[in-house]
Amino acid sequence: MNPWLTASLVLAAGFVPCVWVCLRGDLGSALAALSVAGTLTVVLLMTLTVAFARPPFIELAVVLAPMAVIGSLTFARFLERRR
Amino acid sequence: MSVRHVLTDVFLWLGIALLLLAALGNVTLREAFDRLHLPGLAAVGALCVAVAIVIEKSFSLVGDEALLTAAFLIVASPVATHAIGRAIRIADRDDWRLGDDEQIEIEDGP
Repeated sequence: MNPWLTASLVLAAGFVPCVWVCLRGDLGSALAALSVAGTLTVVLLMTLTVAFARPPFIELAVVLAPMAVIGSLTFARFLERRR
Repeated sequence: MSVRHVLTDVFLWLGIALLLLAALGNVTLREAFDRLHLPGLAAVGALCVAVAIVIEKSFSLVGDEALLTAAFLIVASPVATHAIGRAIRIADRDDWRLGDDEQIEIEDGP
């Protein structure tokens, strides 16, 4: 198996603890886990691009990176206003 | 196996290890402020994977954009972390600044 595909599969396992904390943790912890999951997804898209030798797919990672950060900032703003 | 392949594998698995460590830290750490250390670790892992891609693919479309994405994450991830930490303080105490009932112990220098 292609090492990049193996790396992608190993990375995908990292979502389990993030999802667990998002579902079970307090709001602050869930936001931190969401931030880690966003970075994991970006890297997963990068490794899958190399694994399947489809260069244009890298654009998905390029677009997702700012979207993940903006998402975290937006949820943080909602958390502030929640009080 | 050439030096290039070895370097690619080293950076790729170093990055994957850092990312998995950041993901598993979510379970082992208990407090929200402890967990806020993890996105930074994940961003460094992303940089390692991007370096592996650049070594494998050279400065092509994939290599350039992977490096750009990782660089963005390195810069933007602490900003999001700071915003989340600030939001937690405001949600807990209505103000992010040090309250009258709180104290920070500052050790004297040598």
